[in-house]
Amino acid sequence: MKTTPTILVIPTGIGCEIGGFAGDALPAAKLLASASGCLVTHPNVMNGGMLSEKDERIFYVEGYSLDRFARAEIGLKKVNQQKIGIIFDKNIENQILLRHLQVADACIATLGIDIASYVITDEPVGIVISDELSGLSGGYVRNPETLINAGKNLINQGITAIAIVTRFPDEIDFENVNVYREGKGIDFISGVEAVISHLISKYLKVPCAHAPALAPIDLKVNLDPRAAAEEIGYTFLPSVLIGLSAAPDLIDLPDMKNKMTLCPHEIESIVVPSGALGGEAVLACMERDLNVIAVKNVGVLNVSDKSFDYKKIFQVDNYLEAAGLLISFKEGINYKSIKRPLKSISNCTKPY
Amino acid sequence: MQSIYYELSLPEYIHAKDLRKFILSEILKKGEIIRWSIYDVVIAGNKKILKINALVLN
Repeated sequence: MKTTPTILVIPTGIGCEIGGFAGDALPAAKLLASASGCLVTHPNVMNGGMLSEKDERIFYVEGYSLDRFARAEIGLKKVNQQKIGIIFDKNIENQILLRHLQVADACIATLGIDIASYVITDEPVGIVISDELSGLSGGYVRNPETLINAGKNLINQGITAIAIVTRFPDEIDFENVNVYREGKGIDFISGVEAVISHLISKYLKVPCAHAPALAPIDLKVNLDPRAAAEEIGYTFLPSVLIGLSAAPDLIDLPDMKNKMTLCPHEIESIVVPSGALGGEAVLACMERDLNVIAVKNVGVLNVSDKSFDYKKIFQVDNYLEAAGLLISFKEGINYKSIKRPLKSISNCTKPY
Repeated sequence: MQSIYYELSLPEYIHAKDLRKFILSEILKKGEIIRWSIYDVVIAGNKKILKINALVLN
């Protein structure tokens, strides 16, 4: 079967109109997976709070590891099932913890996912949400060591993938939350979520993803459909567990022992919002002379093709058009043959 | 853990293919990098200035 292996990136916390909410880029990811036959993407694209889906053509890879894959430092190896462990932040109250443990039990009982054990961090992780860079979601954690130690504990018990649940502060700006819920703002906590999962990926090198633990909030009437997947349950953990259950193993390169399912050298294209070309995965793909498909997907960033001297950037208006382009790559059809006007070939003979 | 902001003036000769390594050579001096990206590019005349945010462990 023909494929054109592709990376899809929709950065978290930059307010993209597709992918800036609760797993609302998942349909676009499925479309691109169908068009390309093989898609590597990250939890922000796939996780819709209570909702998610598995797709055999999609490789679920956390952002830090995805950057490493784009830099050709790791390969991906499909497994039938990951053995998942969960890290819970010591700050999580008993009632909220119980809700999350019931999610884990439900995923075992109803979906057949292998969730073996959990640990509670020795110290509170200490989430700090920051908007010092106006308009972007940011922040950091006060106690990264406790998170990493908890992860090491799980790995020593034979865990192969890690879900992380940390308690986010109640003292949040509810005005911003409600703007987000109405589909107008950015997901203000997602920047710190990325930091947490990046830490685990960097230091423990296993598949991982994060779900925030939040106190319940009031029912909202004017809810944007794109944010709805985060309003229909008590936790955001189900999508993380579904994604991780079939996430690929991350294999450091070079490697002579493992048979890889997808090597970074097989990747032909990266699909990314047209204003978000300044991320490491995109720059690594430019370094490797790959196609960059820049999709009009409005967010708060404006790092566009005008910023770079790179010839293989393809501007498209939407993910439907991106899918068409990927099909043309996959089938070996010159995409220029389908566009009008069609130019004659040029003479590039050099004078002697 | 520290969030840092960097403004890098881009040399005229640099190609997009060399950009990532150029940026990293600058921000790696600050510590172990957890996350970074270019969040803005300012073009003033012939000059390009990259605005970079990085989260580092130090």
